[in-house]
Formats: sequence, C-alpha cells, structure tokens
Amino acid sequence: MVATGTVTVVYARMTLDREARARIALIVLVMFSVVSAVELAVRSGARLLRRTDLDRVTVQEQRLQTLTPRLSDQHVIGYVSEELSGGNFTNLSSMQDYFITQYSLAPTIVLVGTDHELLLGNFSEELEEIPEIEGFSVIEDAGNGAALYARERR
Amino acid sequence: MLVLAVGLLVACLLGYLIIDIAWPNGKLVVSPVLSVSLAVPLGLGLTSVGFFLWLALVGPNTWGLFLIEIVALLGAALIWVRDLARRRALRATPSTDVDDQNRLLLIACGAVLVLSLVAYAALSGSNPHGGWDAVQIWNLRARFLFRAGENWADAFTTALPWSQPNYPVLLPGAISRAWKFAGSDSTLGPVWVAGLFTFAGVGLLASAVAALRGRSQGALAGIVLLGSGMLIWQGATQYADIPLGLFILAALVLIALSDRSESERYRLLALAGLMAGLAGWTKNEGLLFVLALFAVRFLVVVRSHGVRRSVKEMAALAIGLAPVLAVIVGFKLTLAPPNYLVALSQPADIIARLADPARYWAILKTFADVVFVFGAPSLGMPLVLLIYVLAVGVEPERLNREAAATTLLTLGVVLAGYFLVFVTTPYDVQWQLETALYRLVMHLWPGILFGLFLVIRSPDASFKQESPASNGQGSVQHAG
Repeated sequence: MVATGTVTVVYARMTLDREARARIALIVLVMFSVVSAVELAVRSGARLLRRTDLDRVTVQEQRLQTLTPRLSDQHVIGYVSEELSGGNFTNLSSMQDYFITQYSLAPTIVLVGTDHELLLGNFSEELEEIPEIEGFSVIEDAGNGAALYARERR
Repeated sequence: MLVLAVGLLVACLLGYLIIDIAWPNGKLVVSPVLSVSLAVPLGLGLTSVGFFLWLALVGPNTWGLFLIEIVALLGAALIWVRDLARRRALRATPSTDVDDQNRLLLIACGAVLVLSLVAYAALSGSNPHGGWDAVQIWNLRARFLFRAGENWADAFTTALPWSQPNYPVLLPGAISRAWKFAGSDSTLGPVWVAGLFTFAGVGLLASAVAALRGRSQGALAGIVLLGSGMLIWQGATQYADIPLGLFILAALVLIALSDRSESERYRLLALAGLMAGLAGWTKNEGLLFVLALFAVRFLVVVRSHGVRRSVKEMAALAIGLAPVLAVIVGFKLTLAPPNYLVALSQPADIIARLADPARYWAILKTFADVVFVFGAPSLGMPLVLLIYVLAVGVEPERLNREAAATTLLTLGVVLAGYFLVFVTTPYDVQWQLETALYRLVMHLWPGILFGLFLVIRSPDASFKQESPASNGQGSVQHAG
C-alpha cells in the first residue's frame, strides 16, 4: 500500500516536472521565434529607411538608359571596361557590374571582348574622357562613363 | 499593377479549383488555408509549364494562352459551383473551440506573420531586383523570355554560361507569364511571385500540421518556420530555393493527407506526384527529390502494407509526375546545355575527390555549423528546436507514422545526395559550401519541420489538455 503510494507520488512529481519542462521549452521556443522576427523586421525596416540611394541595379539601369534605344535591334554586343585584363575581371565588383549590365540590356546578349560590331564601354564616372579603343569609334557617349562604340569601316 | 495582380490571381484560382475538384474531401475535410496554400504553388507551377509549352509550340504572342487559361478557369468554376452543394453536405462544420493556450499560440503566430510581412516588404523595397542569383539567373532568364520575342530561346544561350542555362524554368516562367499578362516587366512581378511562394509555404506547413496534429501544433510549426528568419530573407532574394522548398513540402503534405483518406488516397497521391514534378521543374535538385521520394515511399509502404499496395501508390504518384517530367525531359533534350557539375567532371577526378578525407571533414564541419547559426545571428533555430524536442519528447501517432517516415527518410536521402555533390564538386569545396549550403538547407527546412511536428509531442498533449486533434483522429477542419 505504502509502496503504491510512493510510486504515485514519484510519478506525479515526474509528470509535473515534465509538464513544467515542456512549458518552459515552449515559452523559450516561441520567444526565440518572436525575437528573431522582431529583429529581422527592425533590421530590414531600418535598412530601407536609412537608404539614401537607389539600389545598384536600378542605378546602372538609369545610367544606361540613354544608350538602350540604339541596342534594341542588336542581338549580341561586346563589352569593355578599364577593369578587364586579358578577358578577366580584375575584381568582384567589376564582374558584378558586367552581370548587372547584361541584366539591364537583356534580351541583347552582352559578351566580354571586342569581337562584335558594337561595343558597350562601361567605365568609371571619374575618368575624364571615354578611352579610345583601336578599330572602334564612339557613336554615343552617355556622359557618365558609359558609351557605345561601333567598329570603324576600312 | 492591377493587371499583374489579376494575372497572378488567375493562376492561383486555377490552382484552387483544381485542388478543390480533384479532392472532394469526403471524410477528410480541410481548412481553407490548406487549400489556398496548395493552390498557390499548383497554380503558379502549372501556368508556368503552360507558358513554357506555349512559347515552345506556338510562339511569343501569349494572348491565346491567356484566353485558354481564362476559359479553363471559367470551366473549372462551373464544375466547382455545380458540385458545391454536394461538397458542403459532406463537410464538417469547423470547430470554433479555442482554449487559452491555443489562443496565445495563434496570437503569437499572427504577430510573427505580421512582422515577417513587414520584413519581406522592407527587404524587397531595399532590393527590388533581388539578390545576385536573381540578377544573374532567375530574373535575367525571365527578362529574356519576356523581352526577346521570337528569340526567347536566347534565355538558354551557352554564350552566358554563368547564367546557368541548364536550370529549369518554373520560376522565370511564372514571372515572365505574369509580366506578359500585365504587358510590362516591373519589379513587382518577381517580388509578388517570390512573396506568394514564401508565405504559401508558411500557410501550408501550419495548416497541414494543424490538420494532422491539432491547432496548437500547427501554430507552433508556423511560428518556428517564420522564426528562422532565413525563410523571409531568402524569399526576398527572389531565388528558386524557396519555391523548391514549397513544392517539396507540398508533395510530402499531400502524401501525409493521403494516408488519412481511404477514399481519396490515389487522387492525393497523383497531386503529390504533380507537386514533385513541379519541384523538378523548379531546380535540378528537385529531380533528386523525385528519385528519393519514389524510393523511400515504395519501401515504407512495402514494409507496412505489402508490395501490391506500394505498386499502386507508385502508379498514382507516377500519373501526377508524368506530364511535368515529360516537359522537363523535353527541355533538357532540346534547349538545356549540360549541367556544369556534370560537364566539368571526369570519372577519375570524381574518384579522387571521393577519396579525399579533407573534403568530408570540411563539409561535415560546415553542416554542423548550420545547426548553430541557421536562422539567427546569435543562436541557430535547429539548436533551439532540438532543446524543445528533448524537453517535450516525441509521440509518433499510429496514423501519422508512415507519413513521418516518408518525410524524414526522403529528406535524409536528399541531404545525403547534397553531401555527395559537395564531395564531388569540381569547384573549391569551401567556396561552394559558403555560397550554396544555406540555400540548399532551405529546400529541406519546411519539410523537416513538417516531419518533426508530426512526431513531436503537441502542446495539447504536453499540458494534458487533450484536443480531438491530438488523439490521432486529426482535426482536418473545413469552413467551406
């Protein structure tokens, strides 16, 4: 009789412990999720509010806007930049600029190099003059480091 | 903006009507959230397939396609209305009983959902074109499909190998279709498509777990998925990883529901096969999921019901899978160049990589890191969830046992497959892990949560407030 009572008490305590443990675990899990969600909302909201410039893709699209009408009937064009060496980009940022340029100008296919009749030059705005490219002449200068070149006829 | 919304609504409504007609819900009745959450991926997926087929077979003028879609929508609506009275008679009235604990969890779930919507809108506002892979791959391809007219196949040109022209077309197809419908390629298209996929995943997980394990458990599953902020962050990048995770989850949920519905089992399995096919049409990794799902489900059902039943289930899954698989095969044979992982790998190199223990160690270390940091900057959600599981324990109910086994084993096989891909990658393994692992984990995370919440002891059971749902009968409610 005593043994049965003891077992019942021990079982009740274990059950209570398990319930308490489960309740605490549930509260921790829910609080952790809520705090994570608050943190993400605050962080992303602050990022949006602090933003002073447009995103990089939109900026590049606007930069190329004056050149795009001349490209609408071009299937493939070449791409040059001062940050290209032997057909390879010298840093990640210049490679990203190329990807954004392709994205902006799609469906025209933009290929690195000068093997095409038309070239897009994508240079730093800080350059005083658009660089000359042998065998090509500038047909349109956007005035912001971007320019279109056409192969010179011999 | 309004026309873009109508275009997406047409796709989702088509999905909803197909779900509702194909699944008349005799004994098993479902909540509207579950139907809508299944309708979003089904509608966007099927209309993306239709859009691609139209481009390939008819051409870039898609007004005929939209006319067909609207006629199909009206036809499905007529069938739906005709059967409405019969379906209403079959369905149970939804339970309105909500105890205090349920109410608190539902409030917490609602709060986390609102915060997540705010975060998604803010992230999309800061970066409307999405992350780098969206610019390089997914939205670039959508732009080609939308802008290139007769040259739409340039979307898969090998001249731009960095744009992964081998990748399947579900996401670019869905975005481009919405743009064609609206007549302009605004950034709202990919933002809304990505948002639909992201939040449908939350709705599907929460409502499916609620249907099978009770409301508290469903709300908790939704809280945990949203609480791992990775879902929202990755959703806003507009990559195909969140849509793939949703299709994987949808296939697993439909299989779990099929286990609970004798009369509609094979219809649900066909829908699961269709969702698995759409996973394969989203990313190449989806094809690995298809293989794993068929193999695991076959073995699970053979073990519990014998070969005959298992073969019948495979046939139902295959019926749903076949049409989409045919499109994938057609795409791979005619337009897609070889995958870079295959193209750059020679058998001797693969064997050498497989024999390199340093690669295994690097991968295992990074996989372990996921447990500690995935989902939050300070502490990983998997770790917090593990602590919760240890505290409350597991309670695999008889009715959900096969579904849980199918879910967790399938995802385990897919994870093993990912591990093997990392071991054999021709690129620097550390770079590949850093750039891909978290995205790949998001393919599996909603499904893992579904499998876990099928077996974790529910809050109702833990606090001895037995609800009708937690006794194995399910609470698959309907408010139709």
